[in-house]
Amino acid sequence: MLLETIDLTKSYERRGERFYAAYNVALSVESDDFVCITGQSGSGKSTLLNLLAGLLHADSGSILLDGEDLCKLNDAGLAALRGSKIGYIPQGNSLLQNFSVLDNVCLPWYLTRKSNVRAQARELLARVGIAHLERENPASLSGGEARRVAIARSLIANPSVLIADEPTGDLDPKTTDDIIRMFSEVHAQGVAVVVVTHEREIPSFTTKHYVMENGHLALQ
Amino acid sequence: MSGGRISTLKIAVGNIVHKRFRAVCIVLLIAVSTLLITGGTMLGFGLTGGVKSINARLGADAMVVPRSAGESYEGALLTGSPSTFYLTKGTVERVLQTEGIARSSPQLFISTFDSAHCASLVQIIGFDPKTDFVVTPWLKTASVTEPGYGEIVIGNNVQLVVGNKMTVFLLELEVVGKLDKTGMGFDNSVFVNMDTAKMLLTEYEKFDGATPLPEGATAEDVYSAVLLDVEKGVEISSVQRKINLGFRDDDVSCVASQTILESTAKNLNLVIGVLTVLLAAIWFFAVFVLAIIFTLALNERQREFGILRAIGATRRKLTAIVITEASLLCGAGALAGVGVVCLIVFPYSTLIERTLKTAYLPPQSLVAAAILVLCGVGCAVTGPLASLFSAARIAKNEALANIQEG
Repeated sequence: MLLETIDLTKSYERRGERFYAAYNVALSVESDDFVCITGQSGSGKSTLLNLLAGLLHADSGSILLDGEDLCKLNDAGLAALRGSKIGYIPQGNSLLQNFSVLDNVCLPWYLTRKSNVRAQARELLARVGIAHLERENPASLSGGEARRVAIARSLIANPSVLIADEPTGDLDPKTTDDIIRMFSEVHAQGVAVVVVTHEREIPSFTTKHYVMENGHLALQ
Repeated sequence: MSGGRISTLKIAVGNIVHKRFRAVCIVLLIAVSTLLITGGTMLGFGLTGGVKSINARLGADAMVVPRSAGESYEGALLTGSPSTFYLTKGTVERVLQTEGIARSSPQLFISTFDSAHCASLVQIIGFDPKTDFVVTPWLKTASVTEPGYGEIVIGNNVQLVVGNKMTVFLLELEVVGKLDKTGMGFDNSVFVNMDTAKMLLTEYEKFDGATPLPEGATAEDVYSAVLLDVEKGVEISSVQRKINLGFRDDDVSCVASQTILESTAKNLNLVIGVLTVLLAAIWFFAVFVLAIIFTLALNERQREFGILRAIGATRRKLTAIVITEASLLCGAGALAGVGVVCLIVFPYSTLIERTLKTAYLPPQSLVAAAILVLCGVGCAVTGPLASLFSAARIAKNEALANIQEG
């Protein structure tokens, strides 16, 4: 098992009442899985994804990645994990405007390592079809191009799992198809993929489909 | 930005370049604060140095001057405002018979003219080497040659060097010595022996605008002031009182050195106190304004920091980015401020001295360098200090919260 959650719970307090964004969640991801998580807005999908990426602290339960419990890691440990085993794509345009496309792709690597990675970054940009944009500023990119850069960035550290939060949420149908195809290519190269997406965008090659409702996760 | 490895420094520089207007505002704020704090500290040191200098140079217990020339005398002493005034020899002789005086020495003050007759407007101070106990020891300490007849020793602000000639009342006098800076009127004065002074007074009287000698008197019959030391065990104030009461009708005033020192020191200490409070207020104001700027800026950048966390940055890394950014901006501001101080305060220190109209002795080079470094560093750290709160807050937030708040 590559990634597994056991009784994972995360709650928030809202107007004096406890609200469970994730309740006793059990999720399992094998290294060859392409997992889609769907659900209505506010059902807890993004919270779950961010718990998996070590961006949020769980109230209780465990998240095991390659047998290592993320809930027991400190900030530096989690950051190191995000910079190596996990490739994360946040919602919307997540590129840093102060840096070129190429630097955005290199950034996760340089946050934790000192060796040069520009050649690999160029290769990744070529793989996602935007090698010619490496010197551009993110502000000049279209939504689809920005998403491709984010995908290239998430792959720079050769992660074992790619986690994407609504990567096609604000894209037109054609660009959505391109991005989904890109995820399938990543998956084909041996990277497990966990994607929060809309029902209508579930690709045919999905290996597991989970539905989130009021913090409860169910396998379809 | 593109090219090269992406270090914390590069991320910080990228953020600065991306928000140029904010960066320029912060740099300007710190530059102005540094200018005020460093300039103010220099001023404070200069005024303190001035007080110490008066203490060191007022080598007599008291001075007898014409009552009507009291302010002129103090002006000549503290700021070098040139003036000419007289005490007749007869009056001086009678004053010196006052009980309790151990030793005395006369001085003659002559102002030059700001005209073609004279090289520059200076205060000429004639002293009698036979009786002098104030100027001579000072010349000896500074290893300056005692001026002979027709020779002059110049104060530090007089723009001549030893060996030059200075035209005074159309006569050429040779410079035989130049004194160290005192921060007092002496810096703008020219010292001559009494014979030269009498000769110069005779020439001075030939020009229009000269202060006329008392009726029937010649240059040989007048002095301007008499410096006194009282006998051991005698109170200066008692001799002062005797002279002031005994010569009430003779336009004579006896001023104790301590009185000049105390009143000047009191005024300067008040100025220094106010200056210190103002400088501290400026520093705290800068920290406060920067704290607001950084808090607003970091609120605006929550998403950016959230993304950095999401792609592998630790909290420590985020703190380092924020503090590096603040340090770069405030370092640049402090450097600019110190640079402006160097460009303004040093070249124009003489003008500042004259404008202040009080004893002002600028700090020596080493002290000035130390002030520049300390004030520069003090102002440069305002940024990192002001950003600590915001940096801690942003690092404490959960990464997701940062992304969502953006």
